Amino acid sequence: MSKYIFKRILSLIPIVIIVSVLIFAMVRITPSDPVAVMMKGKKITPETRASIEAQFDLDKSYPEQYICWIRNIFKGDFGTSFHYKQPVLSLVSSRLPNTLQLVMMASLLALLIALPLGIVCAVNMNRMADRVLSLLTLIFVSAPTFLVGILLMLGFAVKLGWFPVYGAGHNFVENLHALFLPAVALALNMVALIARITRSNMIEQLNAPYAQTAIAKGVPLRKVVMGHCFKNALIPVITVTSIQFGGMIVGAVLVENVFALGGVGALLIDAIKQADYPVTQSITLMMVVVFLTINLIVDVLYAAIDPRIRLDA
Amino acid sequence: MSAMLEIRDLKVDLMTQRGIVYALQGVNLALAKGELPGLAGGSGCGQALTAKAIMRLLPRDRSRFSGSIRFEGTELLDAKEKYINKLRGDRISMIFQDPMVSLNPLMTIGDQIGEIYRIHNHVSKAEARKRAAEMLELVGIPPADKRMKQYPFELSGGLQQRVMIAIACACKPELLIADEPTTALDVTIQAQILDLLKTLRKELNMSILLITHNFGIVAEVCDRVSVMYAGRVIETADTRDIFRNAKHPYSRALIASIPRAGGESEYLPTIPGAPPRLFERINGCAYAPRCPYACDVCRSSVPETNAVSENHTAACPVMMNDMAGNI
Repeated sequence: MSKYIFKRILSLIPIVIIVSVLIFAMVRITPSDPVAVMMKGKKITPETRASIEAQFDLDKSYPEQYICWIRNIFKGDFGTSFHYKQPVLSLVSSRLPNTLQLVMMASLLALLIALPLGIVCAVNMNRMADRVLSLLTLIFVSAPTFLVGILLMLGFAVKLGWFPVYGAGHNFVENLHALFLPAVALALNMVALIARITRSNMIEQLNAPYAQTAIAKGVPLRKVVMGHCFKNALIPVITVTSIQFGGMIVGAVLVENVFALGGVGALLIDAIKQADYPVTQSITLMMVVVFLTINLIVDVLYAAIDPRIRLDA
Repeated sequence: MSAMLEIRDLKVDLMTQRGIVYALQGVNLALAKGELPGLAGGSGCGQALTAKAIMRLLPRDRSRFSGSIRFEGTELLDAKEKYINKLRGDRISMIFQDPMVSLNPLMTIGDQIGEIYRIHNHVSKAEARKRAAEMLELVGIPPADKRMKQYPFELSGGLQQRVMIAIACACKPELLIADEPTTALDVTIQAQILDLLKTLRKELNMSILLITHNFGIVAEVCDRVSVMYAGRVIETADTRDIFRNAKHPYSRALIASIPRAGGESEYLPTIPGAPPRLFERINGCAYAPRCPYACDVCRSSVPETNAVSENHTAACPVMMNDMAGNI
């Protein structure tokens, strides 16, 4: 198992290198002029332009800029924002933990709701319970997240006062409370897909010959469902959840705006608009690393669940 | 000879997306303790369905039942689920056609055999493991301690079927239903599995209902055989009797189409046509459209099952009349 994980980690290194080149290239290819944005479109003399470019290393050749960027990352310096004139790391470090915690809470909530929902639907396939619950999840996914966020805020924060109306807490524990409503809003959106995947995979597994063997052994239905089929249905569920998890880190921006959380998604979008190269490329690279880490965790989970993956590796 | 299992006029209708399938149209079958009868017929003729009906494995909201299945005097068709769960795996067991997919891929062999002791005998985990290891030795998969920790995908098809048999026989059932247990296996393994079943039958003193489409297997292991066609039993006889003196043209045709080494004819005889699709109840003999001897009587009413001799019944009006056997 540890050999398997080690092999997986090794295989990630070339990916990170290639992706970093791609990110760097894409940021430069976009038709934008960071100096013009910094000067807010004011007319400037060529001398001023040259001095600004020199200040931010924009006068160097692209390969030089790239190597400089990577070398500094190894020193723990992700560059300085053109717009905020602050180190990228300090900008991100105040936002990324909140966003990650929000997305984790949302995913966990989504799983807690979606897994039982999917299983109940599968066991009662095409009966009343299945139809009602499937319709309900469809409504969840169709409701825009920001709207759900506003409604939750009105109900539970403004009217009932159970949760803060906006803003994040200062540490992990405070955030469990502060990020609960936005996490619910995000989770409801995820529930539909996870529940659907759970349902269809559980139906497939319940009809699999080994499930019939289990029933023929005299295993009670509840144990056939939870003891035999659930584990077999889990792998696609993990896949879908992990993809959604990754997508939500930036996708959470709508909810983060509603609850004034100032997440990493908003920072990235602003940075792109302002041609803020260091912020754009560094956050994108961090996202890639987060994605790859999630993938690694997912691969390890696969191996933990399925001996065919574990023992073949 | 008192029957341990008695099926009377069993009718099963399946609700499918394309309409109602009248899959079993009145099956009669009896099985005494210690017997090893075969249930033969082409695929789709209802043997596997009969087995599943006995085990109550058919989805109850998508099928309709009538008639009766009595096991040791208890009616199974309307028995409570709890009672059936106690019966399954403990007193009536079943093994399936394709061992490669019939075992849980994510569970060790030891756990899958052990589970049945945990459910029916309520033993501890350690005790279940010990008994599972004994069972593995009994079905001939040593070394047990190594096999216990393996997963199904690490075993060959033949060994997987042995594991299935170990599971099915773990609680020493009175009746084992073997649904085409060797169809997915190659011929040498087939013979080994059939030998194993014969041995276990003696050792555990159980009855085995062997479902097969292969009359060669019937000849090799069964005492008796019931032949099914289109959801009915059309002939029942002792194995010896059916090979010498089959009455129903379908039984005869099945026997004629067994490949024989060194046979004289160049071509293997086949039965033209295919079994009917059972979207409606068939009035008359279902085999009539394919039968060379069919006459008006066959097409107008369902043939009655009549005794040919002691232990031999057949449902064919034409053959029954021709007692001299001229045809």
